[in-house]
Amino acid sequence: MDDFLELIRDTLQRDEALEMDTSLEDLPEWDSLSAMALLALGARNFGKRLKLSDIKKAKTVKDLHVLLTTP
Amino acid sequence: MSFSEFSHVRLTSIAAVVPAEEIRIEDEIAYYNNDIRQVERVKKMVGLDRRRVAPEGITASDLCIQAAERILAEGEVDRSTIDAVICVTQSGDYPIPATALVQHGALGLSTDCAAFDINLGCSGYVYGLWLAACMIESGARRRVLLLVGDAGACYNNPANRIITPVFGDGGTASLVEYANDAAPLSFSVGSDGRGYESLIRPGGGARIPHRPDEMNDGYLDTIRDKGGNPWMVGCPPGNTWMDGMEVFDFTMSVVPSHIRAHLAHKNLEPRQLDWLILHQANGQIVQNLAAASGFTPKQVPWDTLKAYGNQACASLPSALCDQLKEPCDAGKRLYLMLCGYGIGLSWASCIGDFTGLRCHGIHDFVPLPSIPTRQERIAYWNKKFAGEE
Repeated sequence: MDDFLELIRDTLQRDEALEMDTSLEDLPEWDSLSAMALLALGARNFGKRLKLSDIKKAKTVKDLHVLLTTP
Repeated sequence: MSFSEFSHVRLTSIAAVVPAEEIRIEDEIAYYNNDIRQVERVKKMVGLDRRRVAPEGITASDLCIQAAERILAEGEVDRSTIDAVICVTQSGDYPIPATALVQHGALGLSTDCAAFDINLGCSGYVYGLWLAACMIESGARRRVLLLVGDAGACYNNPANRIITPVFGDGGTASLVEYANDAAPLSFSVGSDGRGYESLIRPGGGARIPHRPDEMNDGYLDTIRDKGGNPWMVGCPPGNTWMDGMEVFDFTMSVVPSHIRAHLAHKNLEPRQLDWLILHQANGQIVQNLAAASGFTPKQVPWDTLKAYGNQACASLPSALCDQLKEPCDAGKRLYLMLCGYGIGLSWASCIGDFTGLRCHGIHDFVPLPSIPTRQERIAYWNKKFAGEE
């Protein structure tokens, strides 16, 4: 799980650590750039074509985990 | 999806001109709370680095004219034989008349020449080529000068970090000619006007006109988004609105399948093309599109974005000039796909063998002996209205 948190932290280009229950809306890095980076991450690391609407709906880092790892 | 095929049309010359004035994103650290980490984040995530911004009084039209003069200076083209000039821009010199007329006059073209504008952005270069090809293949025209440029930085509020750091100014000229032995050119164009609000300058047109007598109706209110970026309906500055997420979503849902379908129509695999030259929207979009369309990163360059920013309609022809360098090896095989996408929402692609294309590279704008100031231009018009000029 630490690896996943590190991956998301790197994808969002955030310096401070993340937790699974970190609220995405409260992050200054939660912007369209991060959404784009997550789409790319999904395709590259998880072989998944994410929908932007699903990324927008995500509230916490855990939601991102579910999105990226649910087959 | 429909396709247009042409067999008597050739893109023979191309040139690009940018303002000499360069802004590096580090120069604007004050807008990132003086935090170099925020600057580095934008650089890394969007691929933004440097961009060119025209000095006051210099427009996209001026940049395009200098690019055209570079093509015409070759001596192989008699300018009196140009029978159409098409200007693609969203930062025209005046609301009316069309900027192509201003350029037609400045370039001293024939009075038998057609001149008109196309109001399109990032898809505009390929649309302009397509229209020129339609005119030439039909026999209506023989030699079309396509002037594609945008210099919208003058509209932008420097404090707005969504719009301002992304867009750079640039102007290009392309010569499209009739040729009996031209290689086939294939086009496909598309539109989805339901998405017109996601990239828009809402004020200043006929829908919400500029009315200085009603300053208190919100037209000139500065509205800040969650990130503190200022926006405004009225013009200018700060009045081009972009919903980055929507535009990205549209791009990723429409463009890769468009590219794949066009390749399939031509029975081509990505590896058979030398380059896919994409509109230089941002680094992430270009890289994601390349991967989703089945191209290798090497086939889809995006260095032009880092050096010049997203030049809106000029970005695709600038990227072409940047890749070909100067002087280009006329014998080198150039089997290309070009694809533009964005504001409208609108998209277009072209596949063809461009071997022999004469590329004049990207040059800095040569300063004019004198540029009238804004005040001088206003005074000029005021005198004219009074019958004194």
